Amino acid sequence: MKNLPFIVKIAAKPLLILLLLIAFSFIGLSKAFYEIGSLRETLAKAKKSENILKTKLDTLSVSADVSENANSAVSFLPGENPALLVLWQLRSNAIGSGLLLSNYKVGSEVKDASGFMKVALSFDVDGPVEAVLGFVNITKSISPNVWIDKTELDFVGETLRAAISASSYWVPFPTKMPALTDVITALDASEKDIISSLSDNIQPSFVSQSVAIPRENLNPFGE
Amino acid sequence: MAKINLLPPDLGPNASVLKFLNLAKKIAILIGLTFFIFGTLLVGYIVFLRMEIKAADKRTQALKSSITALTETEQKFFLLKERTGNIKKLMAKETQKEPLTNSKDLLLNHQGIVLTQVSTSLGKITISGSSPSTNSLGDFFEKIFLSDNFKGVKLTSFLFNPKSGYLFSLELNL
Repeated sequence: MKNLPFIVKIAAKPLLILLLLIAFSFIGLSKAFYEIGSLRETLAKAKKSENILKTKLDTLSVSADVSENANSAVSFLPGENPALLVLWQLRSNAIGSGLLLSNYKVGSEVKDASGFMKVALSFDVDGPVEAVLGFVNITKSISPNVWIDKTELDFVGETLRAAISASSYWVPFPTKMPALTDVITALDASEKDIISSLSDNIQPSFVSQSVAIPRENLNPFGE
Repeated sequence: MAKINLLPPDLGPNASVLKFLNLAKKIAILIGLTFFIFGTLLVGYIVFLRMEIKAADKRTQALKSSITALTETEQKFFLLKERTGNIKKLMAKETQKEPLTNSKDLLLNHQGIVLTQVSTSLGKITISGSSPSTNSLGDFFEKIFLSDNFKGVKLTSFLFNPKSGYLFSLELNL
């Protein structure tokens, strides 16, 4: 060190400090900017998630009659083969119209190209022409869904025998709920229209019977 | 106490070196100051961002617990959306007109016409019948031709039988 020129000796210290300062500034600032970038990304994600949840909560809070509407929709498009429910509906509407419904047949289940499960149904209806036409109209507004594919009408005087081929569709229920943070959208106008049209449909009525409470039979061999 | 430079001026650094060192010192101070100010601002911003993230997380947790309380509604809403989506698809699929619905006028109120068989499939009606007089037949055909319900009318058979009169078969396209 003693051999170094005097000018180098006095210039080394401030130059070293200057270099160190530049290096520290560079490292420090780049680290800070990196940290800020990642924090801003985290904050954006947190805010997005918060907004999704806020929208979801608002949608769920203002959704009136969800339960009733869901029941109407499920009743129209069930999760299982609706053949028996359709029979019940057709029979009660036929009786209500003064018609005789017979020869009810159910085909096998098939999955169509659109992913819907379909069952083919066929039945005969006997009665006055006007009543049969009224019955056909009613089938458009019953739940579960029934779509008439073909009819063969045989006129016997004033009465009519109609051999009707129809189909009914169902879709299995979803098995997985979306994640809590998944986006949920409110019902749009077309969905609301569908729901309001379904609410006027004739719903199948169910009778539930409660299980009898077990009791002691005091006279097991009696009549 | 006043500082006295005891070094002979010849041994001291020359003016340009001193100027350079002075400049280096000034640059170092400037960089130091800038680094300090920027550093403080950046640290402040980092702290602010961390606080914001913490607050957002807290609000998210509160919203999550509120939504969890509405689980049943959420499930029903999800099911409602899923079903209406499928119903929309189904309705778009089943767009063809069911012929019997709009055939009331055709099947009723046709004096002098005996309908024997009517068959319908999607978008199509086939009618077979008879009539003893051409007048009734003319009225019946006119009613069909003037109807807006049918896009195409095709007379597929026309026979005369002295016993039952005129026998006809029509194919109507909706």
